[in-house]
Amino acid sequence: MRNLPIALFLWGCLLLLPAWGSAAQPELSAQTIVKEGNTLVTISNPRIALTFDPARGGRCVECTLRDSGEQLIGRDAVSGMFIDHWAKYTWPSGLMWLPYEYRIVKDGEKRIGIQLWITVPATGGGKGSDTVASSLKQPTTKDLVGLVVKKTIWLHAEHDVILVNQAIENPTTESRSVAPYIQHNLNMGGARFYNNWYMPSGQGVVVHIQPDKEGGRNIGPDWVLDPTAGWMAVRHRQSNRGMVFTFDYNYIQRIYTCGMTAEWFYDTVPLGPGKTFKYDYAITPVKDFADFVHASSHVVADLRPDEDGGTVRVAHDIAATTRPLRDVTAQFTVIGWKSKKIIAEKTINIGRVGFEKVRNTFTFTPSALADGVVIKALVRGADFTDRYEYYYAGDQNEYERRYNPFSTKGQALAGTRGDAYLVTPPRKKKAFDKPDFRRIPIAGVEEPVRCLVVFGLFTHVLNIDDALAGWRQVNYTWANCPPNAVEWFPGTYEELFAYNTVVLSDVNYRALGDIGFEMLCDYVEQGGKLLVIGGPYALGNGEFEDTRFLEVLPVELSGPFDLKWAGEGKSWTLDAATAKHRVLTGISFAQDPRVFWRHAVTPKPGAEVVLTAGGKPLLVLGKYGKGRVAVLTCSPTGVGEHGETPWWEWDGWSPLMKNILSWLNAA
Amino acid sequence: MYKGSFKLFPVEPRWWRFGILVIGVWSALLGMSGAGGSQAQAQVHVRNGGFVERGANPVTAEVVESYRQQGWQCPDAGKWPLWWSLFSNDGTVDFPYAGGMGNDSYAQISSGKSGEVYFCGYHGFPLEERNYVYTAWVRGAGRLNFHVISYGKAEDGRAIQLTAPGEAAADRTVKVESQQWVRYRHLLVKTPPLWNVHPWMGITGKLDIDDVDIVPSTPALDLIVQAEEELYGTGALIEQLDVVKADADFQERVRLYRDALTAYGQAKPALDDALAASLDTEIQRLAPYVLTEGLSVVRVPYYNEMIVLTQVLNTLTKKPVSPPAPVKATQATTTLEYRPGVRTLQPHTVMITSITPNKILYEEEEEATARVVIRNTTDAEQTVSVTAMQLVDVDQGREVAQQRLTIAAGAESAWTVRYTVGPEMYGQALEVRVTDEAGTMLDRWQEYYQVGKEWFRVQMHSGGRYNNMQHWFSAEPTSWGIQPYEADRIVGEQGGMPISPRGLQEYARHWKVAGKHTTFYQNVHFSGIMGYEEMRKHPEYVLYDPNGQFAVDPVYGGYPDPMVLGSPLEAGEKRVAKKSYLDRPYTVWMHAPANFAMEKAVEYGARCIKAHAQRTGYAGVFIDGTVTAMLGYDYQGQRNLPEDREAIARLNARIQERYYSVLKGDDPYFGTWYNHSYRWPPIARLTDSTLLLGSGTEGDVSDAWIRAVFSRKNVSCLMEMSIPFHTGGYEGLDRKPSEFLNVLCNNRDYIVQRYDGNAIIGYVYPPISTDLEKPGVSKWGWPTVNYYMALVTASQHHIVIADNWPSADPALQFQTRYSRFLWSPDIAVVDDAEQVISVTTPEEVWWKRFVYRRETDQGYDLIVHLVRIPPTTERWDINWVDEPVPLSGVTVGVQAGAGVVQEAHAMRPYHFEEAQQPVQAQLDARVKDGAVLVDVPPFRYHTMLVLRVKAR
Repeated sequence: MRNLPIALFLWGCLLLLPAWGSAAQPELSAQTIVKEGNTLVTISNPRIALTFDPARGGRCVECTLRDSGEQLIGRDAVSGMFIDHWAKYTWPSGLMWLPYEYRIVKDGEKRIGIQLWITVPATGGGKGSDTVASSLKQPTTKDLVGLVVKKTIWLHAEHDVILVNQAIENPTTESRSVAPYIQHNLNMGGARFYNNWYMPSGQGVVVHIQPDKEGGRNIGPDWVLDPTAGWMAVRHRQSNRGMVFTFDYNYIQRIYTCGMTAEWFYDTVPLGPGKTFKYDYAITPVKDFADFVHASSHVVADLRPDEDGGTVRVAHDIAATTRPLRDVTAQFTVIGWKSKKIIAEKTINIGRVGFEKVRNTFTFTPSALADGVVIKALVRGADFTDRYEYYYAGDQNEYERRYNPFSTKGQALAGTRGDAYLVTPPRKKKAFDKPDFRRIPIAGVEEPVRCLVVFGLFTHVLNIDDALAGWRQVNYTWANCPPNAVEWFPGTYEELFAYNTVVLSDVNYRALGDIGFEMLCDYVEQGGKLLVIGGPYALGNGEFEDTRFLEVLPVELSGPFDLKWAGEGKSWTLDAATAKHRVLTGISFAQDPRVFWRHAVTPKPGAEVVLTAGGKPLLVLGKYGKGRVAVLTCSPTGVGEHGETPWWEWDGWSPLMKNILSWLNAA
Repeated sequence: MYKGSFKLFPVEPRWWRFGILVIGVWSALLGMSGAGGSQAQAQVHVRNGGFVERGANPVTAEVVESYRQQGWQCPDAGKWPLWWSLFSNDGTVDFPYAGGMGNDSYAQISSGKSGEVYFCGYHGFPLEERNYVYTAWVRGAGRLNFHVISYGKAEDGRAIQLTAPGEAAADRTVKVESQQWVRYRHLLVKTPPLWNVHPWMGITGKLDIDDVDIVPSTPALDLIVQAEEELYGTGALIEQLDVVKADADFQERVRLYRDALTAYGQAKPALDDALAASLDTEIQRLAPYVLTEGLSVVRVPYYNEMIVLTQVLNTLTKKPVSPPAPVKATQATTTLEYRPGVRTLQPHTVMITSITPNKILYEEEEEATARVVIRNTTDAEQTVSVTAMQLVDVDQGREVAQQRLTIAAGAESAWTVRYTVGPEMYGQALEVRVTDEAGTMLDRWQEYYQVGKEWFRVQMHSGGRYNNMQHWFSAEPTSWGIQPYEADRIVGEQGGMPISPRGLQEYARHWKVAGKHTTFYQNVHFSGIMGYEEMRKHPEYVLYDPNGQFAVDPVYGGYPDPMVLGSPLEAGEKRVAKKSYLDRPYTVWMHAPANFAMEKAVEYGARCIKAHAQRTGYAGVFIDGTVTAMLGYDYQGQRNLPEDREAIARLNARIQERYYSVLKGDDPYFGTWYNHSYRWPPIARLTDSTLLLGSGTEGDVSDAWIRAVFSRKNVSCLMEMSIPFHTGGYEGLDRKPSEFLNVLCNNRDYIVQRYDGNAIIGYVYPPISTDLEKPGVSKWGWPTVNYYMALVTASQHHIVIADNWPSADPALQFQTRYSRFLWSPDIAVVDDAEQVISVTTPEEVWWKRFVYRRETDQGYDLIVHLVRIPPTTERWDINWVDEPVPLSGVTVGVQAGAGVVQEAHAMRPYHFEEAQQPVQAQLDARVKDGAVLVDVPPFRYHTMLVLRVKAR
């Protein structure tokens, strides 16, 4: 046992560093080595060297910071950077094992890059497994076959920022929908145990702290399901070096780290024939940051408040992430979290900001620090503006917030963080390629009618299929829709436009997401038919503020808590708003249907109010673009007094549903 | 100053304490557990050295494939322990899930045709400038090579493998021949260039391996482990057994060890300070396991350590050292005829074999019957008188029945006693006496039961024979708003377990006949199919978030699944879905909190509970939390709670009262219990939670709510601490006996003493065998469980035990008999107990927080609990085998002031070898220097004194 071969199978035990020669390195270089039949390609600049294994998902298998010699990537079979996956599958996707094609690319004398790509094959390109052999055996789902996944990784001659251009091309003749996810499996310092991971979330910046020693425990959430910006970062606590990943928030579904990975998942994006979804990002090595509170394609920044007697001293650290910046100013405003009053304001002229950290400080004196303050930064440069903020309530609070899972103030407020600092995720703005709608006709009314029912809470009470029985032959698609995420929704316009009618029954914005609702709005605009039914998650309770869907609805919403109750033991009568309307044909009110809960809405000009409850709109009809929209503001909630007939049990419910769908589908 | 440090706990004392508290609570919440009963120290350095964690890293399916191609027989990748791999050409490896050191996972490796195989783990810490102790527990037949992969650093900082002697760490081979787990150790001597190591064990033959670790050594361990290694294979150490009899050979070695300790004590001043300090640590750690008086067995690692330490100390003190003589030892085994509640027959007499009351819990003045079986073990017919006595208080008795019986030779006779249990609440004994025709007492025997319409005062909840309560966890379709339903089978709303509702209700009715009450589980949220249907009917009762949507429960989380909620509640074969798309299996974790700030929502839920209990026969309800208001929004979008925290406390009290007015309005004894203890309010305060406001704990605005909680009869609170005996990483406050004492006393002072409530600890899970046929050497953890139960009893706690532990029977029986002196609200803690009571004892016992006073018609009783301190004070050791020698020579003094001590009684639970009855004795008192002194009869774990003082 004394002469064990060096080349033992040791998985990530230690860093066996590549021997970079001492001879002067060219500023930008590329080198290809064929070793035992496998081709490895290295691109490098004076600061960083990346070695790619095209045959294994085109991933980077060595990433070396040349000033320290540190190589960031482990030796595990699954290790690597720039690894491609599909967001619809849990890790891994087959892409990470597929042989990519590659070529070296140059951009003048300033940049060198490697472009890698794969056309997704019929097997091994969809859901994968953790070994090559088994992954390659798995058939690829039809919706992914033929797509081209492409990535170009760039190194710059003058700095160590890694820029990545990614794209998914659809060379097929079919519409597809795609959602990639990116993974970098790396360890700062050679092991994960001194790595802090930072992710922007609704709670500010969450820190995923690794234990100092084996046997310790992780602190902080892994998943950020409510990201508020497009970045994440890692810092090695011993070396104070870090890596900042910046990507486009508008397409991000969630951000994740397991403690040794940077991973971000994209929203599903429709991709028409011949169209391309492009998504770029950057990786910026940084030094000497104690923490991170913000990053973007412009800057990475930290705000370090620190109690100093009765005052708070704030250190503001900033560096550029993709290019040097000039004429940078930082305007700070300190606001009391509870009082909402401005405590201090300070403007600092920073000037030029390069890739080295720049620090400025200022102080303020809070009157009630324990109530918390929000330090807001507005940073402007010659051609950019960034805003970020940081919540602080004293050093002990800071400590407990990070280390004590019980200490997040205000957690008792169910469903929110109560009085705790909470950042509302900004609305995402997507600019994905839309198809030529003229080539996608909306389904006609010929039988069988195709009806998509997005099945929200309590929809089962409505018995929609029973109500429509005898109307026409209807083929239903039931899309189960919990309020946090619909289980299924058409991923392409073709699929969506193939439905004659869409019913949203108690569906909120979060459940379908911004692409789902964008597609739905397009659907109606292009001639689709939409029925919206109320409920606890619908209309004003549905988080539709600032969304296009508000344009589609024939009613104005009044915001949260628009679902009104008639009161204990009370109910509203359901009445016809007009003496004669085709939607009311054959409907009797003799049974005296009662309404217990309904949304308070205001009909838009031009909308038709067909039914009312307690004198307020209950059925409102309208148009949007070429399409038609009906809104039932009643919610199938509440319980009546003895003998009362709830509207959903009323003998007019079935003819009403038939009439509504007939109206929607009228020429 | 904000520190950039990211150590788990900083050194600032107050935060450190806080950290411990949080870990304890989290651990209890998460049910953290580990390998039970391991004698090894916690593995903290070699990753997954206990092989418990599984996963395909580093051994992926691809690696497994390559192993198999090399000729290995091995499990699939997912069944491999994380961080472990193999190296060689062939062999067999498996990782059984049970049978290891803590009856958990271990590695089973056989070498193949190619000879030695290598089993590789991960250490990877940069080594300090000290040696390291490399440990593995092994059994089987073969050879084990303790090897490591050694690494140093090249001049340029690169890692390089070290192989040269003097650079790489030296290895050590041991021969293994044992069917029992044996600990082997090897000292890794730090060489100057050695920077990093990974375990790399060579195996020849067939070996089982567990609990591998490489931990920093100390100067003492350097010497001990080196000396131990020299003795492997020489016969001087035990290498085939795990627990052996403490025979004469052992006693002789103890004598030698004590001599060595004496010499060491004299030589210590001349030794290096670091060496002496580390030796002291090892000596102290070893002491309970080899020097405790009365040891009958000894665990082998400690035995071996003693032999080795004797050698080391003698060498250090320059005494003559020769190789130890070979050890002759006998494996200790335990086969018992023990059965809880069963008397051993005595020959040539007439004796009682059993007394069986028709109930285990009666109400006051209830008619009772008891079946008494008497056996004639002589070879002639016998005529005897049998008398039944009812015993209450300490020794107050009244005759309730008498009968003459003639019993044929060798036969037995049954006698049914009918009587009323009388007006006295709490525990009683039914004692039956057998006298012959000459009036000579042939036998007397007792059985015990509780009396109390207010049954939480006398509540016993375990799998044992004195259990008088049963509880169903998560066995209903919803937590709030439970409604009538018809279903043969459902899935429990939170636990997701298949439930037969009718079966449970049948059980409840069946147990009720025996006096056992059944409670059911509720929480403070609507949940599942039934819960959401109630929310649909009553959205006004639900708590909302700022979006106007149903609030997400901050603890249980979860969103509703519309199609599941539209599917049938029925889960069994009778399930029929009306529509194919509404046929989804039930999934748990759909919870939405009720708005408790709305008093009608509380009243509504309470009415549902009450109606459900009346339908099912349940006698009470457990709320897994409390009836206090959670902050949020009402259905109109208004903040549901006032800003004023005192007003919230008053609201909490008001809704508590509203809850009770429904549940206890027509039956004050409807049982209500909660998950609450003194530990929760401070945690709620940390989060600014409105929950529990009015708790009366430090930092709260008032005690309005907790007073309301205990304003009614039959109320109890569970302090949820579940795994005191587990090893692994669990470091909860109940893990260390002395801290557990404080936890219990603090909770008692809050729940019982300040608010006259009832306190329960549990559910406690034992990592021991509870099989009557397989007691293990420790007899179901008998010593440790009895130490533990002594603390529970002395601190006025009830306990919930999640099984039947024969070892807990003495204490549970004691609690049944003497509950009057434990759980009655008139039992008041005596502050400054040392002003009243003095205890003279040959060894320290816990008593100062266990002195109580009870007012009587004549004066008062002083109740003093004496609790022995376990030999392993750092952590409960459930595998501790030997019982302590009964403590004699304890004298208790009483400063009765103006009173006179009229009587003194001592009561204790039975010892293992005794008849299964509490042992009670009246004590003689004497006066010395103005104090009344009583001598306490010898006891092993616990004695309760009742000193009856009459006012002058």
